[in-house]
Amino acid sequence: VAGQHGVPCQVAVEELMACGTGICFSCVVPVGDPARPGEPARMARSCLEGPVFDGAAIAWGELGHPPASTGGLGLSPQDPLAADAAP
Amino acid sequence: VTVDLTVDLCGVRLRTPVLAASGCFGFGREMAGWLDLDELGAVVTKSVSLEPRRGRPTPRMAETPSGMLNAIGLQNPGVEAFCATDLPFLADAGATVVASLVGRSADDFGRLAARLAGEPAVHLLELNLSCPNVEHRGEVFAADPGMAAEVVRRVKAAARQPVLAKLTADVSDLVAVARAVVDAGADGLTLINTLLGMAVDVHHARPRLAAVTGGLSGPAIRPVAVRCVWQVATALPGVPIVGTGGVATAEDAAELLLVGATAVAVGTASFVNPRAVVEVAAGLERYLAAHGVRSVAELPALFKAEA
Repeated sequence: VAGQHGVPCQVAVEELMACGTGICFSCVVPVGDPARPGEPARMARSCLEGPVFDGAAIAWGELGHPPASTGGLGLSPQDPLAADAAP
Repeated sequence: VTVDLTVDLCGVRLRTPVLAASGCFGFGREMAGWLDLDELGAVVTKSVSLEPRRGRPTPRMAETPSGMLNAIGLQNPGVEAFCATDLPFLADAGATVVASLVGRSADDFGRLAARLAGEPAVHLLELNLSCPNVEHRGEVFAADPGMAAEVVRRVKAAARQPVLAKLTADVSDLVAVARAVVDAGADGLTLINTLLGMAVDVHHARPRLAAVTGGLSGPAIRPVAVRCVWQVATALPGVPIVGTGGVATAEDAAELLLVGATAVAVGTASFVNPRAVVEVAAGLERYLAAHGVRSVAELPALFKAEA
């Protein structure tokens, strides 16, 4: 929505964290350079570089698991954000 | 009594017998705000490979009883970036550095050792022969005595620093692997790596880690580490051992030192308390003083073989 209206968008994202100090590399989020869409995203530590990122920089399709609140036994819908980002 | 905490590890004098374990201290930079890096026995770096590695997708960690599973997948900037930025930082901070190396072949390990041979800021090498978070079990070199020995031979042919081989307890005959790497020239051993584990999200009927399996660490594995150090120290007396696995307190460290470790490394505990490495060392000093022991090197002789 922000993209359609040319409004900058920042998003707060995080992953499961073991340390919160930058040493364990658990909480990484795939972040790319919006100016270089062809380059693979790098795994940025959300505890140090985030949790707020430029929304356009997040490689949404590469984000991990769906939220724990979704799905159930045999019912595991994809992360709605990831689904939106899929072409 | 006056306690002397210094120890000799493969010819390198360490300020304390308590090291920061690989993968649980980054490359030291983030921890410098919590403690002085020159206070530690040594910093064992996150494992470094020839090329940068992006690591595994998330989720990469799962909490388990008295421990955690991780499947980071060896994310690291590669050896050139390590030498250009991380190593100078560690040297400036006065850290004693154990460079942890990881590769997909014996040749990779040999090339890494050759690259670091001219880096005086690296005091020892630790070969990560046992990370469970690899794509093929064939990359867990420490699962096979012959493969592990071949890596050590290639490294020793190129290395200028003493070499520690980090082994896994996930084998049926750990002493056979330890003997093979020592015969191949390893100067010492690090025991143990994480244990291969798995956890399931039963409410969604799927693995809790993206990589499905991961390495179990924390206090849950400490008895396994104690058994392994005792077993190998008994079979191969005189071989220096860095004991690691679930050490969170001075008493935990003393367990490993009593059964024959020369030094210990604190891993997962640093995630809970960034000052764990220095606090364990301080506690060890009090423990030795309370028992009238002058040096950690005297501990193994005090260990009684029977309960």
